[in-house]
Amino acid sequence: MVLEILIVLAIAIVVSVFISLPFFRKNRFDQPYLEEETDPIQGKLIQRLNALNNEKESLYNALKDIEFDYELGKLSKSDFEGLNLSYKSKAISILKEIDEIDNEINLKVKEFNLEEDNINESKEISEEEDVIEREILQFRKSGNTIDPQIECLNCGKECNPNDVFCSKCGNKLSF
Amino acid sequence: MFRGRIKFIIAIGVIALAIAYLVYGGVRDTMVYYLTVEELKERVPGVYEQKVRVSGNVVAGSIKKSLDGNLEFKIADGGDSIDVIYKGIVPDIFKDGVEAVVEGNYTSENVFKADLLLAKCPTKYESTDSLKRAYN
Amino acid sequence: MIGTGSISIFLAFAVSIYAIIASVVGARYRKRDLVRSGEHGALAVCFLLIIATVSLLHSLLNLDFSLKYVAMNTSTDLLPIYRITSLWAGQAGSLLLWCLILSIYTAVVVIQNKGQSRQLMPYVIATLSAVSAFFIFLIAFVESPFEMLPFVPVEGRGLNPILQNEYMAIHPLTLYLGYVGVTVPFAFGMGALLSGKLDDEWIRQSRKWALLAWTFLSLGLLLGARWAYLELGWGGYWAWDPVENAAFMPWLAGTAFVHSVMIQEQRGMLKKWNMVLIIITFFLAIFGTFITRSGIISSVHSFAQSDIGPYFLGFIGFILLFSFVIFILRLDDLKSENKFDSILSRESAFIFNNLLFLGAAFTVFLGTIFPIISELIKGEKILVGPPYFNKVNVPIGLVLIFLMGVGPLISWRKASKENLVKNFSLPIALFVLTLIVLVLLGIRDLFALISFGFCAFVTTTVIFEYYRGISVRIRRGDNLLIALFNLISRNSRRYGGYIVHLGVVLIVIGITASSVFVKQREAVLAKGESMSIGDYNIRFDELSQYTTQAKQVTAAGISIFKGEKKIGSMVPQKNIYNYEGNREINQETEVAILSSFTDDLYIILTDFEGSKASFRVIINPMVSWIWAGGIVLLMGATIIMWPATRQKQKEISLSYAVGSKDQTAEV
Repeated sequence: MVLEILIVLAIAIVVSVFISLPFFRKNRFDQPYLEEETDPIQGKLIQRLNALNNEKESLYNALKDIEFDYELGKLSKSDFEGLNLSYKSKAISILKEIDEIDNEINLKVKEFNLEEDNINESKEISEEEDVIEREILQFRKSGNTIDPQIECLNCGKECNPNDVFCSKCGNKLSF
Repeated sequence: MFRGRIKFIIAIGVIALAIAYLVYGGVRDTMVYYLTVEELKERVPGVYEQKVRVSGNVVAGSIKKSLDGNLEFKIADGGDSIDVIYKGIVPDIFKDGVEAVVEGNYTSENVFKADLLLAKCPTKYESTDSLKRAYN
Repeated sequence: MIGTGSISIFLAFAVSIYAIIASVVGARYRKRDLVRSGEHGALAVCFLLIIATVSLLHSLLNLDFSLKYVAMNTSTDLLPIYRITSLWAGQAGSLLLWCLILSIYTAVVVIQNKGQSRQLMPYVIATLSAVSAFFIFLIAFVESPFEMLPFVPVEGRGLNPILQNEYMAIHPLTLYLGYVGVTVPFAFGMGALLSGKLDDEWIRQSRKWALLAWTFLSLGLLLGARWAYLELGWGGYWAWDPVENAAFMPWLAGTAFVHSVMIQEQRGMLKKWNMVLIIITFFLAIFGTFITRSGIISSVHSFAQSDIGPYFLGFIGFILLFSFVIFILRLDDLKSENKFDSILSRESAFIFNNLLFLGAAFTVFLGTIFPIISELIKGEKILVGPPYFNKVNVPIGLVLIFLMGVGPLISWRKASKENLVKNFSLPIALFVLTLIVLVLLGIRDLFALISFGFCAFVTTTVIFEYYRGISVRIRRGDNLLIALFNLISRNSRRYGGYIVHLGVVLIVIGITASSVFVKQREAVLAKGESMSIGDYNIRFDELSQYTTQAKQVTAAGISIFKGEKKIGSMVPQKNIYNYEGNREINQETEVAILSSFTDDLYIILTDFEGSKASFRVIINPMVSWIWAGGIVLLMGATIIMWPATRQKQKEISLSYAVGSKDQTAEV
């Protein structure tokens, strides 16, 4: 009986201590609450960067998928080439923007200290992605003067991939 | 683009309507009143030849089984009881006193011809009375 | 240990409430330490519930009859393995199991997301803890597993004999793993709505958990069907019983969800829809739990009814209200990234898939609660039975099978004529061919024809896909086996999914055949007499009676012949358990089943007298295909869930400190 009381007490103490632990490890919590923090402009930049990277990843996946589908024979040549071009040009404009933001951040970063154990992983790019990125870089560097454009599905006008609406007919541009 | 949208909405509408139609037909064709013995007797003669489900407790001593599978028994709740005849699978639980549910027709001879028989444990709440007996 | 167990539950309740508060306040006021403390709380709850469960198991194994739960569910003659499974035989114990599983899932979510998704996590943990708190409340204050009896009986009531078999050991467990698993994607959805982080993150996490829950639900449903088939002895495996429906509804909604998330991931569409869908799925899971336990709808599964019904209703009402309110508040932020292009597209096929699955879930829901509604509206109880459910769901099911074949092949956005012809000519040809062959074989039932035809259609599409995929790899230099392996491992979601579809096809074939072509005969046979059914001749050899430790057995020895050749013997039984105990049921009918690839011979000993015995003999065609299909389905699901061997891209957590000083830290 007494033993049981002691056990229960022990459990209660262990649980309470465990729950209060975070309050006593102050040194870990000098940083701001979220990654994109304190300086609101900086925060917005990082947020935009994350969003762009996610979009880039899904574009890479889409490119990989259509390439595979084309090889499988599920996608016709014209369908494939059309999609390939539109995805790639979108990816290029994203890469451009990423570069710009990266530069801005790098300037600011030089002014502050970096907390090592908070930098998690830098990208681990897989083989295929490497290929795609290289390809895209190639595409850019090849001096391909065709500014990457996407075609409005409604009227056919070639519009800037960063636009939301077609400059001719006003239809919403999908990617 | 706009045309595509309309086609789409029409398709969704068609599906919804189809399902509604199936449900309506399904309910109308298969719905079954669930009555107590008392309620059944109250609805005579309108309830004759209507497919219904009736629940009641098996009257002790009323079970008659024959080897060819014909089963006769009585179910009751409160004061009323009815005769039931049934041929089919008999649940293991089925014996005097259990709550039985039968589905079928109440014939004009005041015999319930069941084509479905279910039985349930009589205890509604987990009672500890049976345990008391073991203790004593 | 009872005190320990009991107090652990109270502590768990308190800590889970704390976890909710700490997480939400920490998130609102941006205090990492509070949020971390909340996470520790969630882990502590898991720890405490493990203690409580171990404690109950200890009492069960040692047959401590001073505990009401032990006394009501075990007896001295109960095998140790069933003393363990009796943990979930009764209301209180199974609720404890629910809590335990939820707390383990929560702990896994905490650990997996350490340092990640910081915006989302606190609200996810808060939601999970809130659901936990509710269930722990039930076992702490309403239906405690540690309730004591005022006296100590010398013998317990015992475990229902129907529950003493291996299926009962696993079936509830897998169902719970499924039901509870649905809570996690729901929590992520809530986390997204509450935190405002409405991008793809919640979907990515939810997808994996939803798949896991779905797999367990599928497994649970299949095991339940198999168990009913083997133990309940009426020759069937599915009765549209309310408790069966209770698990089927979240499964239907869950299937819709795992498909529609693909659209959100690939095309950024259906964001609002997915949110609504996960709320509905969770609602159906809790509602299912509610139906099963409250006894509000009478069912063959008669769990003891108890007072928890009203609490469940309150909880369900609260969840629905709360989730839909915050959903509507966030409506504007859930914008699609893309538009629909054409009705002939994969997006469209997926949407139809969703509509049909939800439509089916709705019809099952309606049919299940019909008696309650009719009583509320008309004052009399009206119910609809299996004919309703079959009538309504079979057509829906047939269209779904067709879509299963169309979906994977049709292209995104807008299928060109070229695409349609290229991809669908062969499958359609095989569909027609199958119809012709079946009609020539004499099959005339329309549903069977369409069902088998569509199954052929889907199978062709899957084989076609595999063939194409392997060809591509072979062209790249792999040999056949390596090609297959690489194909599956590099595109596990796609090719695993195809295997799941194949499993479904097998199950559908089995269900169609066993429903449409079933044969049944009854006969009274004297010793030595035979009867015939289908291709079988069945000879009743002898009736033997003997006693074992637990029961008095009456067994009928039967020889089975096909033509002149004896192909086996079967021994259906009718037994009586010795011990009264939890025996409103002490009779037990054991069916005998002879399974083969083509059909099951199913024999029930219905009665005996002197040297005569009466039998009900059923031929269930192709039932074994259902179980085989289930195994294939599970293999496919495992492939889909298998962790990717190649990391495509680790999440970039750019969490470096760009700036300073958290004011409070200085204090």
